[in-house]
Amino acid sequence: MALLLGVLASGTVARAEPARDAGACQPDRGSLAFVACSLAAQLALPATGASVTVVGLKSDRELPAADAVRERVQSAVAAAVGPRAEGAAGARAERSKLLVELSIEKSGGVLRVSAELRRRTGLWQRVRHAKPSSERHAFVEAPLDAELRALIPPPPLVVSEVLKLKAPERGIVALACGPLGSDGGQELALVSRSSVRVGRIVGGAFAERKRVAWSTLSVVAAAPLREPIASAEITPQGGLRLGISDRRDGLELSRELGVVARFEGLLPVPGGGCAERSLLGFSARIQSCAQPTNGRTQATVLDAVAGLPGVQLGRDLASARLNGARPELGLATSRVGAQLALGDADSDGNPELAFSSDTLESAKDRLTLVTLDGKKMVPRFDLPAPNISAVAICSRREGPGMAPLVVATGDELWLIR
Amino acid sequence: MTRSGSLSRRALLASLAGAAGSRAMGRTPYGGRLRVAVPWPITSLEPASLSDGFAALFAGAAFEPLYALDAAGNPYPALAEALPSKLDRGCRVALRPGLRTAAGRPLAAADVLATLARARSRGAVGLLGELESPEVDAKDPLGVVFPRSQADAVARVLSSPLLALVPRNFSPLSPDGCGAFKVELGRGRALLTRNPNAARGVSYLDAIDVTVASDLADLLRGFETGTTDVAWFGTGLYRAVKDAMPFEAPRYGFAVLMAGKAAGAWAAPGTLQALLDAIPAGQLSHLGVRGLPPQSSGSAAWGGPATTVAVLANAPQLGAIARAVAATLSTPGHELTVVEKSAEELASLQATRQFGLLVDQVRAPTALARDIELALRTIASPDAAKRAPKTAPLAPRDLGRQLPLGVIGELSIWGTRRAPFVNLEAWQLGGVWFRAPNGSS
Repeated sequence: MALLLGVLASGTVARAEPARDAGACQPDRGSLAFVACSLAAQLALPATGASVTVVGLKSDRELPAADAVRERVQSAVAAAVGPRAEGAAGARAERSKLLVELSIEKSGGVLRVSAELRRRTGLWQRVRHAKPSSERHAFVEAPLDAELRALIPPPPLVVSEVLKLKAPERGIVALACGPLGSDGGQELALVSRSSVRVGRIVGGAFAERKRVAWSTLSVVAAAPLREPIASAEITPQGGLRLGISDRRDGLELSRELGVVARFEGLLPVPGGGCAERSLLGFSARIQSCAQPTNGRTQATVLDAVAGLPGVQLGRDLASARLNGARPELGLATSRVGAQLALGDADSDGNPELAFSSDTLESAKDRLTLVTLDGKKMVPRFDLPAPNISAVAICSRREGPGMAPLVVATGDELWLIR
Repeated sequence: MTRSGSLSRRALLASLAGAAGSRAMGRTPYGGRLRVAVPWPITSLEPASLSDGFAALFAGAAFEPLYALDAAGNPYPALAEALPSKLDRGCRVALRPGLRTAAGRPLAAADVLATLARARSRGAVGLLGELESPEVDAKDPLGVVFPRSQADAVARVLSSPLLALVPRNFSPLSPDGCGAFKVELGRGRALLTRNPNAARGVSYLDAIDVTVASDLADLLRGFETGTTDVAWFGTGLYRAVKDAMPFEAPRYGFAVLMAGKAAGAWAAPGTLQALLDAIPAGQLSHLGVRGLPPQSSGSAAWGGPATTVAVLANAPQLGAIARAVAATLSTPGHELTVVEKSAEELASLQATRQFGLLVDQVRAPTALARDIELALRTIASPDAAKRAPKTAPLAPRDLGRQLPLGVIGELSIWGTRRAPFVNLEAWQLGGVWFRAPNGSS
């Protein structure tokens, strides 16, 4: 009875400290640290801390070092929720009364960890086979960073499925794929010469959520190009940045396709910044989108751009070779087509580049995927795809394989997984 | 790269692409220089002219109208911001903001008014007909108001290449528009280079060199010797040329025979067409004339007074046509003699009608039957053209039976071209591109 009273008197983590701000946990300090910090903040444990155990590990593909994953997550969380240094000698005894149970799931390119805070069972409860209820719940999702990738190898970059569906219109000139807005899953943004659409692929068809006509977004460019150059990007912050040489303004749009920002005379470059219009394309000098155009001529003119934060590439209009901060890449491949996309398709930290062929005959067009690994360009696959007009690599993986690639070809959309 | 800190719109954008559309893969390459000899004198480039053969071929490269026509013949905005909007009494057209000519002159509503005014005094008199002169919208320097006019009618009229937008102080001697090319005229030649301010897309080609052919053989000889890239009416003068492809561009005009006061009763409407329909096709087909009647009928004997047939000097094809027509129609005592005249002399003769017969070129502004009918009516009688009947348009030869003008045949560029010049057949010169021999394919 005293044991029971003792248990009751201790309350239900009544002496928990105010919750630490989960927003203070920085993802850039490493995914494991972020997971541990976020869980500790959400659970708001008392200074006495809690012991940690892993009760489950699920993965969308077999993990070669599952035990190591359990151990690394457990130890990282244990370090975050353990007793504070100033804890009294009795803290250890108190700590033993609280238990954090972790369920780990590896899905696509992310690690999801949910935590249940329970009170350890006493003798009487064990006799009664009573399972203590969860007193607090926490959840966190983090991308597979370099530390986790050492334990969870990336998926092979191979094509296991090509889903072909009818595009809502012909002439799609730019594509983007990623979580648009802060509260949804991945969506597709389709940019044509007349409109911008966002939606998802549902049941083998493109299900449009929202569409807006270019005529309501921007006036026509004073001197458009006969063959348009366009870009589209769903930013890590969930905005849609896009532009097309037909129109005067580059734009940032909200999830509901409202204009958030306008960049006159500039084309937003995926990965950040903008490029200024030149006579036949866009300047290779990437500038701030807030900076007005200066009309200065730039020797190198691009007719395609692609990028991720930290890596940006273009296609040199004159040579059809890659142009970017890593000049060796321009030499590592022969000429590329005018459709480029960059993304980390296997979540291994090295970006993948997808590009069309430098051909003027639609039947000879192909989609090529390579990995930019330091100074090397590692070929992955090459897929015949006639008449490619736009390419995107989705920012998230959605299963055990690589992140989906989306290709606009003629009047079709291809989803390559 | 370096780092430092509505339907109308759709139709417009679709039109920007020309032949290339939104194709991707490798992009349509920029570059290349097309060399063409033409059987027309090069002295000026007047977009509103109906009788200038050089303008019929190249005005579309240098100038753009406010509207263009889609494949179904429906207008869509080109330099206009949108289709005309209806007002209580009339309609309103607004220019796209930011338009500039090749010389960098900004364009506004006042330029639209000036364009229409000068076109009304030239080849567009019939086209503009009874359309009232527009006014600048007091609230918008880019807006033009057409009083008491239907929006769709205004859009159709403004889609004519004869009404291509030019700046207020336009001179055909130093042409300046917002087409794919800017034009420099020289003595007997023209140089078309890429216009950085092209309102509907810059050209793929770097340049087009146009020279004047001294005779019809010159049109083939230049191709054979490698100085031009297009052979008119054949594959070569003496031998076939390697890397050559058959080629036929759309009709750009008509060769017509007109009668003046000196023709007397033979100037009556329909008389000349009856004579021309009696000329066997073989008499003219070797001169590059198309659209000839398969079977000649009637008598090809001129019974009017012996007189002259005036024709433009330095226009070798038209001159050869005039000589062939004169030789075929002449009969003893009713001889027809060809005399060459300068453009100014010819214009003066046409204004006063003080001539016997005259062979001229009439531009086909578009492929639409109505536009062709108005062009022919305007050449025959500008005043009568203003009140052209609004009935179903007639075929050119049928129309000739109602006018003091006979249609000899159609003028077009056909023959051979060098293979690397792609899309030349459409004769939308901004969309022509050069496939380099070592280029991608």
